[in-house]
Amino acid sequence: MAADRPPFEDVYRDYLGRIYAYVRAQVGVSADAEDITAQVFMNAYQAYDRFEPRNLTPAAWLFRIARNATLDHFRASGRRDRLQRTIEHQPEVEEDPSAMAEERIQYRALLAHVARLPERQRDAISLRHSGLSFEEVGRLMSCSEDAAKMLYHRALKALRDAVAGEEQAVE
Amino acid sequence: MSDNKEDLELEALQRELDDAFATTRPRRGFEDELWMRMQARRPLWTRLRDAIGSWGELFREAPAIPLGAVAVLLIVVIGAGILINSGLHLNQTATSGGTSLSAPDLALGEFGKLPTPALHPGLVPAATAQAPGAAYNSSFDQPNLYFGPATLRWTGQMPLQSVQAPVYRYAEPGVSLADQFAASVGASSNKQVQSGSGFLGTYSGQAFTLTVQPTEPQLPLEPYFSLAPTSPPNVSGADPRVAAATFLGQYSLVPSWPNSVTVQQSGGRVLVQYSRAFQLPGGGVAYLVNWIGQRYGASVDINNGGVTGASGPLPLNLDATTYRLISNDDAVRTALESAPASTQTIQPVPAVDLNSVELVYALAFARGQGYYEPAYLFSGTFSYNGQTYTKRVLVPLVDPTLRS
Repeated sequence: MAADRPPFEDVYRDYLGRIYAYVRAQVGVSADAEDITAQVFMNAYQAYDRFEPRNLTPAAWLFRIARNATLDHFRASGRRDRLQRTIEHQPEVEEDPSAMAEERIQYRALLAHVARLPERQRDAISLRHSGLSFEEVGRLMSCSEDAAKMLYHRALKALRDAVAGEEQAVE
Repeated sequence: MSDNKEDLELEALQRELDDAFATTRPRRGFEDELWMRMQARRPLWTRLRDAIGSWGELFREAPAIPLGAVAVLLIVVIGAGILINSGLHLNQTATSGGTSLSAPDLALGEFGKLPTPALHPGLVPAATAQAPGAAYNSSFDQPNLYFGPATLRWTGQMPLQSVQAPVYRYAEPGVSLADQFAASVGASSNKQVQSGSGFLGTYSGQAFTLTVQPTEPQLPLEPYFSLAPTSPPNVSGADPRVAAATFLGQYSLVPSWPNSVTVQQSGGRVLVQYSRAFQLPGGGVAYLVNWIGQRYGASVDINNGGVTGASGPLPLNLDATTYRLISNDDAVRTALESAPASTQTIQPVPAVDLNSVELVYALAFARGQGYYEPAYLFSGTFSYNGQTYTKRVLVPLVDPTLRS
């Protein structure tokens, strides 16, 4: 193992929650978020011997894997069918108290709005608020740091408008 | 909108996003489960290498140990590791059919540290269409369950002064065992759909198809079969229990474990469920419950008068041993202090009197093995928006120091 590469167990402990939150904001369903997060860390674990920390921080490396896994998830054929099957077989517990409680949980509602943003805006918001710098966000999204900042601010305004629109609809 | 006001709004939104991402975390237990799954996937030689490495560290810190003793010890460690990882049993506790209780007077904690069973609301099996039992089938009536935060109070009576209940263990089966099972019901492998399907095997027999699923560790759910006739036999007018038993009997699949049979009906669909139980050494049985605390086992589906399928746990050999269990007082205390199984909450947080408790078995899975562990399932009801909800709390009974 490279001298400056932290033990994988430390990386796992430090980043599991952040990766999960990023994925959760992307896919909007906790069961899918767990599946994808599990896949991310399985892949990372297998590839850790090849991770070169001189070129990339563990955060940037893990979020790249997570981003690819999330994109794969959206591309996967039959995803809609699978979701439909999942919804059809949800125990009622998923649909009753939690559904009623949902609008009371501010952050769940906010993340649902994030999940409905266009792909690149959603990604910019999620990566930035998962703790990455604009430089890292830009690198992951194949654009410059300035372009990442602009994309993020456009996304932030779109999110504000979406939240405000819903509040007006409720009133 | 003025620029200043807009800036303030965006800053507030950024703070909310920071909080949202900082507080969104996977459910309790996910971190440990995933870590164990990752460890279980490592090749045997890397686990041995690490084990030897850690022993090497120990010996470097104790240089006075003679090298000959080190060599002998390493041989023992490696040998034990190979035996454990190969699934060979060093004891003679194997019981067939999984319900014999001839073995529990063994050394405490013989299986090593156990994984902890827990309720996992919100999860559903990946292959729900084939999953056994009605416990997670939304077509039938179920109580409204709530797993979020609540203020709990114990107002019931413990049914037993002390509990005697062994822990049972199975080793995750491979393809060959699935093939043997299929052969025993008269089916042969359907190779062309087997690859990459996530099944242990898919099979065809005379006028039926059969699939065998491995353990679904995230729930967890033990390996199970699903059998579907290609042309459903007509059982219109027959007692559903008799029809189900007759159907299972054709394939020698009538459960050999203790069970109770229930019949649920919804429209033209009838589900005959065999809830699985484990015999207790002191008499009586304890039922197996799933990740939302519902009983489950095998089931037979009847649609519009025809048997459309049956499913149930794959018959597996179980080892049994005893573990030190916590007292009833400790169990009650744990129930009242336990973290909610879900963070999804009703506001205001409901106050719930837990007034009933049942000794149950719950499955936990780790390191390629499934463990049926005794637990108390506490429950109580409360009203919210005119509806009655049931709060369930699962308290594993194996002493926490013997669990990982």
